Amino acid sequence: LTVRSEKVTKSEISEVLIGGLAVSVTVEILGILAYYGQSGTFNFDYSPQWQMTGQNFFAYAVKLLSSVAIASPTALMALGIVLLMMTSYARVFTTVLYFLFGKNLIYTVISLFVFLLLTIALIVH
Amino acid sequence: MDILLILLLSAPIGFLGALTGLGGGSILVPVLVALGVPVKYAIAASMVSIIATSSGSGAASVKQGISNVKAGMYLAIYTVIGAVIGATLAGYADQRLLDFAFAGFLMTSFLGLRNHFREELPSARTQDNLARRLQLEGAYYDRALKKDVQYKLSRPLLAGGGMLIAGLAAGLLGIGAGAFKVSVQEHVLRMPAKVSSTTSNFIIGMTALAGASVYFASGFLYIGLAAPMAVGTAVGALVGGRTINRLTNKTIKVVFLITVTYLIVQMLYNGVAG
Repeated sequence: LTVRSEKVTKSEISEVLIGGLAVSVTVEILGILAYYGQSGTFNFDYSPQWQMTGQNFFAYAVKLLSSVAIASPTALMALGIVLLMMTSYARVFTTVLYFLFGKNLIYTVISLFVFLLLTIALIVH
Repeated sequence: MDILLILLLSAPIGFLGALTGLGGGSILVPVLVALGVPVKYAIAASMVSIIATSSGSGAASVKQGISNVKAGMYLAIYTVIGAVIGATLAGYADQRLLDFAFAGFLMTSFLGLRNHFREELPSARTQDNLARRLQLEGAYYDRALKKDVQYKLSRPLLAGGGMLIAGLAAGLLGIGAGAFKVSVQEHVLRMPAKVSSTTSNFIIGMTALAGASVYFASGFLYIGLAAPMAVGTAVGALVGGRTINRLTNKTIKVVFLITVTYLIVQMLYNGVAG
């Protein structure tokens, strides 16, 4: 990568991070406020409605997004967490793309390998 | 459990995590357990908050050009593999033994950094062939020193081995293992402290994502814990990421050593108390 394109790469990675973080934190805050508005308390317990689990993270995320119109406060908070995790995932993908467009073969392969490792970790359990 | 209390506690921990490169998980877990949160739930939620710390501080430091993205991606290969193996083995490991092992693990970082306490920037070293091929070098403007700092890294294979151990510990203990990562980067790669802290935060997000996926599948991830922790640590980390370049490397090392000392005592206590 040239010095200029490397600066662009870093700027894009930074924007993915800050954008994803801002959206996920906003959704989580909305969820917390909606929960307070609905229940009048900030207390929670360890019942299944507060649990976030599944065998395939992407399947869980799609299911959550498809039901977002009828979202409960806990679903909104869960969506914020999903977006946060996807931000970290998207950052690696952005890095792959920019090393690819920068024609840096070594780092395209390295970042692609990390991306594939994370994809497998999120899918296979 | 109170969502607001967790949010307020998480913000200063996110700040400290960003400043030291520790990720904050090592500090959050004992605090939550002390509040009565079951340890596995605390660890799972902490993994999510580590991603927030990493994203918050990483956004600021990557843009400022302090983080070394190439070194971060190269080292992430080892930490992600380590985290997946570690998280898979976590179900079989004895927690007390792990507490002792991790205390020893942190002591190595503590003693190593103490020897370099007076060193503002690492002394120059000849770069080996592999490091040159991997383009492991960088430059950044240091606001505290008011000058451009150029550096070259070396011994990437040895550093990779160290990062594999760090990833393994992260997966096993549910923490970012930032202390060890920072130590490996400073001692083996000869990375300047600021670059090391910010690059560690950059890597920790990827390591934590791999670990969080395992805890998600295990059913230990609770929204009421993870959501406020993510919000609190994200805000703290954003402030920490913007503060780091105003401090000298020595100040960062002092903060790091104080935090690591606390963590060693905490881990030893956990091991003894069971």
